[in-house]
Amino acid sequence: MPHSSDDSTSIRIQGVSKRFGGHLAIGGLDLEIPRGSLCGLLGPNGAGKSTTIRMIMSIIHPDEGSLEVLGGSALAAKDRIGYLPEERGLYRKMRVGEFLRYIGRLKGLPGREAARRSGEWLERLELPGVLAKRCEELSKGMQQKVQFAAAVMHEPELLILDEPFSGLDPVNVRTLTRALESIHATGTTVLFSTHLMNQAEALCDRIVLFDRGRKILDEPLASIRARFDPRTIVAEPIERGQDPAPLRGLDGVETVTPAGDAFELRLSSEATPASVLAAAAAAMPLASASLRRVSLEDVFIDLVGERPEAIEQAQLAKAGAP
Amino acid sequence: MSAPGLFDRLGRTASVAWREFRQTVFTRAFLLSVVALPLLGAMAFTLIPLLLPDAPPPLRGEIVVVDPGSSMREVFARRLDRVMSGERSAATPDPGSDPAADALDRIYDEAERRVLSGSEISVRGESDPAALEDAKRELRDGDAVAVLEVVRAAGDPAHAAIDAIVLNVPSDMPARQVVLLERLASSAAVELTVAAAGEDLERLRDLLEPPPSQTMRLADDGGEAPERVEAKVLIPLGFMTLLWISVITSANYLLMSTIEEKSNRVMEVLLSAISPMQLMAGKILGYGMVGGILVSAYGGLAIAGLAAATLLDLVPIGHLALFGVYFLMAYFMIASMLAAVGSAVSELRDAQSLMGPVMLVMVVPLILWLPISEDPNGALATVASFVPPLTPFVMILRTTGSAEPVAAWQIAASILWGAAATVGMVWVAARIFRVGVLMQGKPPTPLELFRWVRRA
Repeated sequence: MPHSSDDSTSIRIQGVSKRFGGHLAIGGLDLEIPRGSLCGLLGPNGAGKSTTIRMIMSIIHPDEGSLEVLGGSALAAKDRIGYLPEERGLYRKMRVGEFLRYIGRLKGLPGREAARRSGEWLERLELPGVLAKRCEELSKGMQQKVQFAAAVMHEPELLILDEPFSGLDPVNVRTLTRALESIHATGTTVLFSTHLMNQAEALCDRIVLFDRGRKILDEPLASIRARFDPRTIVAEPIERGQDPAPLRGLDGVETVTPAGDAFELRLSSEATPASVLAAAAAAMPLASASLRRVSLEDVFIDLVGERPEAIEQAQLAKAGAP
Repeated sequence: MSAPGLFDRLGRTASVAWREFRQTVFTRAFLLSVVALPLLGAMAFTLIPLLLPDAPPPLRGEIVVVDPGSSMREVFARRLDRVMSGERSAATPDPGSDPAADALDRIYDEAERRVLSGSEISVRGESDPAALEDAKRELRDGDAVAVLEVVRAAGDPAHAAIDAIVLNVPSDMPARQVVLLERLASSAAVELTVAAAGEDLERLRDLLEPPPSQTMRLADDGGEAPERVEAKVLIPLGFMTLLWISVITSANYLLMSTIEEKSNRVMEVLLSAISPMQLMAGKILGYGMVGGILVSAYGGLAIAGLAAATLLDLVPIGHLALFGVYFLMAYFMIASMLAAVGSAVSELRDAQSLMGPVMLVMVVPLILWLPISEDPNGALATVASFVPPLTPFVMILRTTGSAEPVAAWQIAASILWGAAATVGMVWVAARIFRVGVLMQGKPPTPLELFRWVRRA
């Protein structure tokens, strides 16, 4: 390893590339995931998220570059990592309790402790009474939650989830989100891939964006918001059809453009949003006025350009399509 | 949590082994097909008399024997009494007689006795042929059970030869009773004919019985051993069949389980907890225990059968010990091959193409059974003993069947060479398994498998 591990980093990836045949899945990836962060890997389908996760898990190996997980190889740290793969898998004929105990034992838990935590996690995930059921008797969403329980029941230091919300209904998404937040609150580092940008925006404190095998963004969410701040105020007059002229004359406003019933005020680089907001409210009776926040969809389109497939992917992600 | 130590890793491998064993053995299908059926087979041998059909309605009345010579009544009545009293089935077998044959005789006699169970039959003789019509009338009226007509050659009826016998029975007599009466009448007629010729039937039987014979095989080193066909051909076949079935069945379970884990996509979950090597080792051990159950069930049944037939001397304890060694060798060889096949494919139908060569190899011991049994120390047998994965199959054929013992050095060499080959095959399989379990899509070509072995 070119760098020794330190306590502040959970995952360190340096110069990693991976090809499948002639296709470059990941090219020259450098990435550091700080301990205790809740990091989202975002990007369209085929961007390289799952490949990165599988390399982190030592399931596949990079063609070049190095990876360090919890200060060493993921193979050596298996018991400290929880993993939910993209391809969901259960033993169809096995009973849920038996499956969880089995995975718990493979993760190093004593039998009784594995049994206790199985029941506890099924309760937390709102799956009471399924312990004795066969896995094949459960719905797809229930199976996914059982697998989530299998990934977290040994209380890992690092939790890696590949598309954990994929295919879940809104109620189950909320259940899983709460579970994820509570796990993160205990200090667990969480890394998950998703193409649901609103989900990532709501949960993550750090975002890594992939496009066509390359990392195009890797920053804390707050930093992204600051960097991609649109410096735009959205002001909605009380009365419809108002003349925007009073707003155009305000100091620090470069342009005013109608947007439905409201106006978008583009601020100059010197203007302070608070003073422009106060001035706008004085210039015209407003129903509402707010500083527009950047969305990850905007950032994504801004970074990858106007490629039709990228825009479509971003719009689908915003709409919450699986 | 720190990285797991050796005992912890072994414990997890044992967890995999136990799950595979449990998921296979504790199922109704396994218990029924693998354990219950042979046990039922064993029980059936002792329970056959209980399983015989219920006795037909008892016969009550007279059997009229119309015999101008008068002698048939007495002989027929005596034979009938023996059947009805169960005299033969209750008799103690002669010392030195074949126990298996005696057991079968007793079952047969018991079946005959049941045919006439509860019957009260007397036998009345009529020497006047004119009485035949009256007797038939009695039969039709239900006053007689049957009418046996003896047709004799011309001459003095008392000494005339029996030309024919005609058994008349009522229309509703069950076929089993008819067959029994026919047999009794025929055997009585034979006894009378032999007696008329001045001979004794028992004496004739004794005369026709071949004397005890024994073939001895004389070895070059001065030793000699009795030749026994069952020991030379059937016992090795039994050992090899037991080895073949238990190994193939348990290794096939392993193949199915590996393919199921790949097609269910549960493999990645498992590999996030344990290494491919631990997984493969656990699976091989788990299904090895399944194989042990199969060997115990079928082997135990065979040994019980041999014990019942007092043929246990055909299976000395040394053969059982060698069987244990060769079973382990054969199982690890075949199981590792099938583990590699299972890991390389995602669907059962994809496994067919890779299973072809494996099954081809597995058929060879069956083809070699007869030539090796005929000449256990010949060139073919000796060479085949050192060709893995045939080694354990061929050696079990040779060591359990040869009248002339297989050279000790060959046994030792086959075990050492077989163990080395087993380690090699497991190593190759492990390298294929490590790459294969995470591959999806079309099955690999043999060349790709070779590349996996090199790069894993």
